[in-house]
Amino acid sequence: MSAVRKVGATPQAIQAHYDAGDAFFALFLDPTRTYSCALFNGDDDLDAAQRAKIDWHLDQSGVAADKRLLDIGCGWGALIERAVWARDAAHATGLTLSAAQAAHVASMGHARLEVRLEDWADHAPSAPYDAITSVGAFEHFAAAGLSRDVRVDAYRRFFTKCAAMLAPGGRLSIQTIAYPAAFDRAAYDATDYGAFVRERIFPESDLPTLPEILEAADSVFEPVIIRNDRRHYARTARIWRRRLRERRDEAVALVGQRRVDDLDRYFRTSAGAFDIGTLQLLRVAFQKRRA
Amino acid sequence: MPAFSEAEIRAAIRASLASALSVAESTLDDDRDFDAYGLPSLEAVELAGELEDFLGREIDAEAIFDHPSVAQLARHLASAA
Repeated sequence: MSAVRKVGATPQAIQAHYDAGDAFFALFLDPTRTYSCALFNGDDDLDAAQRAKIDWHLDQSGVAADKRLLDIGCGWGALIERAVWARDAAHATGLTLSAAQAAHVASMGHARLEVRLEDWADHAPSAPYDAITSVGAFEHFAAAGLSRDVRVDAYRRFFTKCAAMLAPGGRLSIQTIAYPAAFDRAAYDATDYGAFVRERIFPESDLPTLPEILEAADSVFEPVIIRNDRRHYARTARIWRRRLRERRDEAVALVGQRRVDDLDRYFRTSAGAFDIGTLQLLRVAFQKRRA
Repeated sequence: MPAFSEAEIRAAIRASLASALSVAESTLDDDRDFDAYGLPSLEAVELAGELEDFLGREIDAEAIFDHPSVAQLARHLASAA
Protein backbone atom coordinates (compact mmCIF):
# COMPACT_ATOMS: atom_id res chain seq x y z
CA MET A 1 0.00 0.00 0.00
CA SER A 2 1.37 3.39 -0.93
CA ALA A 3 1.70 6.26 1.52
CA VAL A 4 -0.66 8.31 -0.60
CA ARG A 5 -3.40 5.73 -0.58
CA LYS A 6 -3.61 5.95 3.21
CA VAL A 7 -5.04 9.47 3.03
CA GLY A 8 -7.51 8.73 0.24
CA ALA A 9 -10.30 6.21 -0.07
CA THR A 10 -9.17 2.56 -0.03
CA PRO A 11 -9.84 0.18 -2.94
CA GLN A 12 -12.40 -1.51 -0.69
CA ALA A 13 -14.32 1.76 -0.29
CA ILE A 14 -14.15 2.51 -4.01
CA GLN A 15 -15.32 -0.98 -4.88
CA ALA A 16 -18.20 -0.77 -2.41
CA HIS A 17 -19.50 2.18 -4.40
CA TYR A 18 -18.66 1.26 -7.98
CA ASP A 19 -18.69 -2.56 -8.09
CA ALA A 20 -22.46 -2.85 -7.59
CA GLY A 21 -22.52 -4.32 -11.06
CA ASP A 22 -22.61 -3.12 -14.62
CA ALA A 23 -26.27 -4.08 -14.97
CA PHE A 24 -27.30 -1.86 -12.08
CA PHE A 25 -25.54 1.27 -13.34
CA ALA A 26 -26.79 0.59 -16.87
CA LEU A 27 -30.34 1.06 -15.53
CA PHE A 28 -29.93 4.78 -14.93
CA LEU A 29 -26.70 6.00 -16.54
CA ASP A 30 -26.29 6.83 -20.25
CA PRO A 31 -25.09 4.01 -22.56
CA THR A 32 -21.40 4.80 -21.87
CA ARG A 33 -22.12 4.55 -18.14
CA THR A 34 -20.50 7.90 -17.45
CA TYR A 35 -21.04 8.40 -13.71
CA SER A 36 -20.18 12.08 -13.37
CA CYS A 37 -21.72 15.44 -14.15
CA ALA A 38 -22.62 16.02 -17.81
CA LEU A 39 -22.25 19.29 -19.74
CA PHE A 40 -25.54 20.46 -21.22
CA ASN A 41 -25.91 22.74 -24.20
CA GLY A 42 -29.50 23.93 -24.60
CA ASP A 43 -31.94 21.02 -24.71
CA ASP A 44 -29.28 18.30 -24.90
CA ASP A 45 -30.37 14.90 -23.65
CA LEU A 46 -28.11 13.04 -21.20
CA ASP A 47 -26.27 11.09 -23.91
CA ALA A 48 -25.32 14.25 -25.82
CA ALA A 49 -24.41 16.09 -22.61
CA GLN A 50 -22.11 13.28 -21.46
CA ARG A 51 -20.37 13.35 -24.84
CA ALA A 52 -20.03 17.14 -24.57
CA LYS A 53 -18.48 16.74 -21.11
CA ILE A 54 -15.95 14.23 -22.41
CA ASP A 55 -15.17 16.47 -25.39
CA TRP A 56 -14.60 19.45 -23.09
CA HIS A 57 -11.95 17.51 -21.16
CA LEU A 58 -10.36 16.15 -24.35
CA ASP A 59 -10.20 19.72 -25.71
CA GLN A 60 -8.79 21.20 -22.51
CA SER A 61 -6.19 18.49 -22.04
CA GLY A 62 -5.12 18.86 -25.69
CA VAL A 63 -5.80 15.28 -26.79
CA ALA A 64 -5.12 14.92 -30.53
CA ALA A 65 -3.56 12.55 -33.03
CA ASP A 66 -0.20 11.16 -31.87
CA LYS A 67 -0.78 12.31 -28.28
CA ARG A 68 -0.59 10.05 -25.25
CA LEU A 69 -3.37 10.34 -22.68
CA LEU A 70 -3.72 9.14 -19.09
CA ASP A 71 -7.21 9.12 -17.53
CA ILE A 72 -7.14 8.79 -13.73
CA GLY A 73 -10.38 7.21 -12.52
CA CYS A 74 -11.48 6.02 -15.95
CA GLY A 75 -14.81 4.50 -14.93
CA TRP A 76 -16.21 2.37 -17.73
CA GLY A 77 -13.75 3.89 -20.20
CA ALA A 78 -15.95 6.32 -22.13
CA LEU A 79 -13.35 9.10 -22.17
CA ILE A 80 -10.34 7.02 -23.23
CA GLU A 81 -12.47 5.22 -25.83
CA ARG A 82 -13.53 8.55 -27.36
CA ALA A 83 -9.91 9.83 -27.23
CA VAL A 84 -8.81 6.95 -29.42
CA TRP A 85 -11.83 6.76 -31.74
CA ALA A 86 -12.77 10.43 -32.18
CA ARG A 87 -9.39 12.13 -31.62
CA ASP A 88 -7.08 9.43 -32.93
CA ALA A 89 -4.91 9.56 -29.81
CA ALA A 90 -1.77 7.44 -30.11
CA HIS A 91 -2.39 5.74 -26.79
CA ALA A 92 -4.84 6.11 -23.92
CA THR A 93 -4.33 4.57 -20.50
CA GLY A 94 -7.10 4.40 -17.91
CA LEU A 95 -6.58 3.82 -14.20
CA THR A 96 -9.34 2.55 -11.93
CA LEU A 97 -9.61 0.93 -8.50
CA SER A 98 -12.79 -0.90 -9.49
CA ALA A 99 -12.31 -4.46 -10.79
CA ALA A 100 -15.70 -4.43 -12.54
CA GLN A 101 -14.78 -1.26 -14.44
CA ALA A 102 -11.32 -2.57 -15.36
CA ALA A 103 -12.77 -5.80 -16.73
CA HIS A 104 -15.26 -3.87 -18.84
CA VAL A 105 -12.62 -1.59 -20.38
CA ALA A 106 -10.27 -4.53 -21.01
CA SER A 107 -13.08 -6.26 -22.92
CA MET A 108 -13.11 -3.42 -25.47
CA GLY A 109 -9.88 -4.97 -26.76
CA HIS A 110 -8.56 -1.94 -28.65
CA ALA A 111 -4.79 -1.97 -29.32
CA ARG A 112 -4.32 1.67 -28.33
CA LEU A 113 -6.44 1.39 -25.16
CA GLU A 114 -4.99 0.16 -21.89
CA VAL A 115 -6.68 -0.17 -18.51
CA ARG A 116 -4.88 -0.76 -15.24
CA LEU A 117 -6.32 -1.73 -11.85
CA GLU A 118 -3.94 0.63 -10.12
CA ASP A 119 -3.68 3.63 -7.82
CA TRP A 120 -2.36 6.76 -9.56
CA ALA A 121 0.39 6.99 -6.92
CA ASP A 122 1.74 3.59 -8.03
CA HIS A 123 1.54 4.22 -11.77
CA ALA A 124 4.91 4.11 -13.55
CA PRO A 125 4.41 5.14 -17.20
CA SER A 126 6.76 3.76 -19.87
CA ALA A 127 6.90 7.22 -21.51
CA PRO A 128 5.65 10.71 -20.54
CA TYR A 129 2.03 11.63 -21.26
CA ASP A 130 0.95 14.68 -23.24
CA ALA A 131 -2.40 14.94 -21.51
CA ILE A 132 -3.98 13.81 -18.24
CA THR A 133 -7.68 13.85 -17.40
CA SER A 134 -9.36 12.98 -14.13
CA VAL A 135 -13.14 13.23 -13.98
CA GLY A 136 -14.96 12.42 -10.76
CA ALA A 137 -11.98 10.86 -8.97
CA PHE A 138 -10.65 13.83 -7.00
CA GLU A 139 -13.59 13.35 -4.60
CA HIS A 140 -11.80 10.25 -3.31
CA PHE A 141 -8.28 11.64 -2.89
CA ALA A 142 -8.73 12.71 0.73
CA ALA A 143 -10.41 10.68 3.45
CA ALA A 144 -13.06 12.18 5.70
CA GLY A 145 -11.99 13.85 8.92
CA LEU A 146 -8.58 15.15 7.83
CA SER A 147 -7.37 18.65 8.63
CA ARG A 148 -7.17 21.18 5.80
CA ASP A 149 -3.35 20.93 5.75
CA VAL A 150 -3.36 17.15 5.44
CA ARG A 151 -6.01 17.32 2.72
CA VAL A 152 -4.04 19.91 0.73
CA ASP A 153 -0.90 17.77 1.11
CA ALA A 154 -2.77 14.81 -0.38
CA TYR A 155 -3.93 16.96 -3.31
CA ARG A 156 -0.41 18.37 -3.74
CA ARG A 157 1.00 14.85 -4.07
CA PHE A 158 -1.57 14.21 -6.80
CA PHE A 159 -0.61 17.31 -8.77
CA THR A 160 3.11 16.69 -8.28
CA LYS A 161 2.73 13.14 -9.55
CA CYS A 162 0.72 14.34 -12.57
CA ALA A 163 3.34 16.96 -13.41
CA ALA A 164 6.07 14.31 -13.19
CA MET A 165 4.19 12.09 -15.65
CA LEU A 166 3.56 14.91 -18.17
CA ALA A 167 5.84 16.03 -20.99
CA PRO A 168 6.83 19.74 -20.99
CA GLY A 169 3.79 21.90 -21.80
CA GLY A 170 1.47 19.03 -20.92
CA ARG A 171 -2.08 19.70 -19.80
CA LEU A 172 -4.30 18.34 -17.07
CA SER A 173 -8.08 18.62 -16.95
CA ILE A 174 -9.97 17.67 -13.79
CA GLN A 175 -13.59 17.60 -12.69
CA THR A 176 -14.74 17.30 -9.10
CA ILE A 177 -17.57 18.05 -6.73
CA ALA A 178 -16.46 20.69 -4.22
CA TYR A 179 -17.65 22.64 -1.21
CA PRO A 180 -17.70 26.44 -1.14
CA ALA A 181 -14.52 27.77 0.48
CA ALA A 182 -16.40 28.96 3.58
CA PHE A 183 -18.24 25.65 4.02
CA ASP A 184 -18.60 24.50 7.63
CA ARG A 185 -17.61 20.82 7.48
CA ALA A 186 -18.17 20.19 11.18
CA ALA A 187 -21.74 21.51 11.01
CA TYR A 188 -22.40 19.47 7.87
CA ASP A 189 -21.00 16.29 9.41
CA ALA A 190 -23.37 16.78 12.33
CA THR A 191 -26.47 16.76 10.08
CA ASP A 192 -28.39 13.57 9.29
CA TYR A 193 -27.62 14.03 5.62
CA GLY A 194 -23.89 14.54 6.23
CA ALA A 195 -23.72 11.30 8.22
CA PHE A 196 -25.79 9.51 5.57
CA VAL A 197 -23.44 10.49 2.72
CA ARG A 198 -20.33 9.66 4.76
CA GLU A 199 -21.60 6.27 5.90
CA ARG A 200 -23.77 5.05 3.05
CA ILE A 201 -22.79 6.80 -0.19
CA PHE A 202 -19.11 7.77 -0.21
CA PRO A 203 -17.33 6.05 2.69
CA GLU A 204 -13.84 7.35 3.45
CA SER A 205 -14.09 10.33 1.11
CA ASP A 206 -14.21 14.10 1.57
CA LEU A 207 -14.55 16.98 -0.87
CA PRO A 208 -12.07 19.74 -1.73
CA THR A 209 -12.67 23.47 -2.09
CA LEU A 210 -11.46 25.50 -5.07
CA PRO A 211 -8.80 27.38 -3.02
CA GLU A 212 -7.46 24.04 -1.74
CA ILE A 213 -7.19 22.73 -5.30
CA LEU A 214 -5.43 25.85 -6.60
CA GLU A 215 -3.08 26.00 -3.62
CA ALA A 216 -2.17 22.32 -4.01
CA ALA A 217 -1.53 22.69 -7.76
CA ASP A 218 0.32 25.99 -7.66
CA SER A 219 3.92 24.78 -7.48
CA VAL A 220 3.59 22.64 -10.62
CA PHE A 221 0.51 23.79 -12.58
CA GLU A 222 -1.14 27.05 -13.57
CA PRO A 223 -4.91 27.14 -14.00
CA VAL A 224 -6.11 27.96 -17.53
CA ILE A 225 -9.88 27.67 -17.19
CA ILE A 226 -12.08 27.29 -14.10
CA ARG A 227 -15.81 26.55 -14.39
CA ASN A 228 -18.39 25.97 -11.70
CA ASP A 229 -21.13 24.01 -13.49
CA ARG A 230 -23.20 23.16 -10.42
CA ARG A 231 -26.51 23.60 -12.27
CA HIS A 232 -25.38 20.96 -14.75
CA TYR A 233 -24.99 18.47 -11.91
CA ALA A 234 -28.44 19.28 -10.51
CA ARG A 235 -29.81 18.48 -13.97
CA THR A 236 -27.71 15.31 -14.31
CA ALA A 237 -28.69 13.99 -10.87
CA ARG A 238 -32.39 14.60 -11.55
CA ILE A 239 -32.19 12.63 -14.80
CA TRP A 240 -30.42 9.73 -13.05
CA ARG A 241 -33.04 9.79 -10.29
CA ARG A 242 -35.94 9.81 -12.74
CA ARG A 243 -34.44 6.85 -14.60
CA LEU A 244 -33.68 4.94 -11.42
CA ARG A 245 -37.31 5.38 -10.31
CA GLU A 246 -38.58 4.20 -13.69
CA ARG A 247 -36.50 1.02 -13.34
CA ARG A 248 -36.97 0.65 -9.60
CA ASP A 249 -38.13 -2.97 -9.55
CA GLU A 250 -35.16 -4.13 -11.60
CA ALA A 251 -32.79 -2.04 -9.48
CA VAL A 252 -34.13 -3.53 -6.23
CA ALA A 253 -33.75 -7.03 -7.67
CA LEU A 254 -30.10 -6.30 -8.52
CA VAL A 255 -28.82 -4.49 -5.42
CA GLY A 256 -31.61 -4.51 -2.83
CA GLN A 257 -34.09 -1.91 -1.68
CA ARG A 258 -31.76 -0.19 0.78
CA ARG A 259 -29.13 0.63 -1.84
CA VAL A 260 -31.78 1.91 -4.25
CA ASP A 261 -33.39 4.07 -1.55
CA ASP A 262 -29.98 5.43 -0.55
CA LEU A 263 -29.14 6.48 -4.09
CA ASP A 264 -32.62 7.96 -4.56
CA ARG A 265 -32.13 10.17 -1.51
CA TYR A 266 -28.57 11.04 -2.53
CA PHE A 267 -29.60 12.13 -6.03
CA ARG A 268 -32.60 14.09 -4.75
CA THR A 269 -30.75 16.02 -2.05
CA SER A 270 -27.53 16.56 -3.95
CA ALA A 271 -29.55 18.02 -6.86
CA GLY A 272 -31.03 20.55 -4.42
CA ALA A 273 -27.61 21.24 -2.89
CA PHE A 274 -26.26 21.99 -6.39
CA ASP A 275 -29.31 24.23 -6.99
CA ILE A 276 -28.46 26.46 -4.04
CA GLY A 277 -24.65 26.27 -4.23
CA THR A 278 -23.99 24.17 -1.12
CA LEU A 279 -22.22 21.92 -3.61
CA GLN A 280 -20.18 23.09 -6.60
CA LEU A 281 -19.14 21.19 -9.71
CA LEU A 282 -15.69 22.33 -10.73
CA ARG A 283 -14.04 21.73 -14.08
CA VAL A 284 -10.49 23.04 -14.01
CA ALA A 285 -7.95 22.91 -16.83
CA PHE A 286 -4.27 23.29 -15.96
CA GLN A 287 -1.05 23.66 -17.87
CA LYS A 288 2.20 22.32 -16.50
CA ARG A 289 4.35 25.20 -15.33
CA ARG A 290 7.68 25.76 -17.03
CA ALA A 291 9.19 27.46 -14.01
CA MET B 1 -50.12 14.56 -12.95
CA PRO B 2 -52.13 15.37 -9.82
CA ALA B 3 -52.91 19.04 -9.26
CA PHE B 4 -52.78 20.28 -5.67
CA SER B 5 -54.50 23.30 -4.18
CA GLU B 6 -52.52 25.95 -2.34
CA ALA B 7 -54.04 24.68 0.93
CA GLU B 8 -52.90 21.11 0.23
CA ILE B 9 -49.40 22.30 -0.64
CA ARG B 10 -49.33 24.43 2.50
CA ALA B 11 -50.26 21.39 4.60
CA ALA B 12 -47.48 19.36 2.97
CA ILE B 13 -44.91 22.08 3.63
CA ARG B 14 -46.03 22.35 7.27
CA ALA B 15 -45.69 18.59 7.75
CA SER B 16 -42.18 18.52 6.24
CA LEU B 17 -41.04 21.61 8.12
CA ALA B 18 -42.33 20.30 11.47
CA SER B 19 -40.54 17.02 10.83
CA ALA B 20 -37.29 18.77 9.83
CA LEU B 21 -37.40 20.93 12.96
CA SER B 22 -38.70 18.13 15.23
CA VAL B 23 -41.52 20.33 16.49
CA ALA B 24 -45.32 20.02 16.53
CA GLU B 25 -47.07 21.49 13.47
CA SER B 26 -49.24 23.59 15.78
CA THR B 27 -46.15 25.63 16.80
CA LEU B 28 -45.44 26.76 13.20
CA ASP B 29 -46.22 30.27 11.93
CA ASP B 30 -46.91 30.22 8.17
CA ASP B 31 -45.62 33.77 7.74
CA ARG B 32 -42.37 33.29 9.62
CA ASP B 33 -39.13 33.08 7.55
CA PHE B 34 -37.55 29.62 7.39
CA ASP B 35 -34.32 31.35 8.44
CA ALA B 36 -35.91 32.45 11.71
CA TYR B 37 -36.50 28.77 12.54
CA GLY B 38 -32.77 28.14 12.15
CA LEU B 39 -33.38 25.63 9.37
CA PRO B 40 -29.94 24.55 8.02
CA SER B 41 -29.63 24.87 4.24
CA LEU B 42 -29.31 21.13 3.66
CA GLU B 43 -32.49 20.51 5.64
CA ALA B 44 -34.19 23.12 3.49
CA VAL B 45 -32.97 21.17 0.47
CA GLU B 46 -34.41 17.95 1.87
CA LEU B 47 -37.68 19.78 2.48
CA ALA B 48 -37.71 20.88 -1.17
CA GLY B 49 -37.06 17.28 -2.14
CA GLU B 50 -40.00 16.02 -0.11
CA LEU B 51 -42.24 18.60 -1.79
CA GLU B 52 -40.88 17.48 -5.15
CA ASP B 53 -42.04 13.94 -4.43
CA PHE B 54 -45.37 15.13 -3.02
CA LEU B 55 -46.13 17.25 -6.08
CA GLY B 56 -44.68 14.76 -8.54
CA ARG B 57 -42.62 17.39 -10.33
CA GLU B 58 -39.13 18.80 -9.99
CA ILE B 59 -38.56 21.91 -7.89
CA ASP B 60 -35.57 24.23 -8.01
CA ALA B 61 -34.35 24.26 -4.41
CA GLU B 62 -33.66 27.99 -4.73
CA ALA B 63 -37.43 28.44 -4.34
CA ILE B 64 -36.89 27.92 -0.61
CA PHE B 65 -34.80 31.10 -0.51
CA ASP B 66 -36.87 33.08 -3.00
CA HIS B 67 -40.12 32.27 -1.16
CA PRO B 68 -38.89 31.81 2.41
CA SER B 69 -42.03 31.09 4.44
CA VAL B 70 -44.70 28.39 4.43
CA ALA B 71 -47.28 30.80 3.02
CA GLN B 72 -45.02 32.27 0.32
CA LEU B 73 -43.69 28.90 -0.79
CA ALA B 74 -47.18 27.38 -0.95
CA ARG B 75 -48.41 30.32 -3.06
CA HIS B 76 -45.40 30.03 -5.36
CA LEU B 77 -45.73 26.27 -5.86
CA ALA B 78 -49.48 26.49 -6.41
CA SER B 79 -49.12 29.21 -9.03
CA ALA B 80 -46.18 27.54 -10.80
CA ALA B 81 -48.11 24.27 -11.24
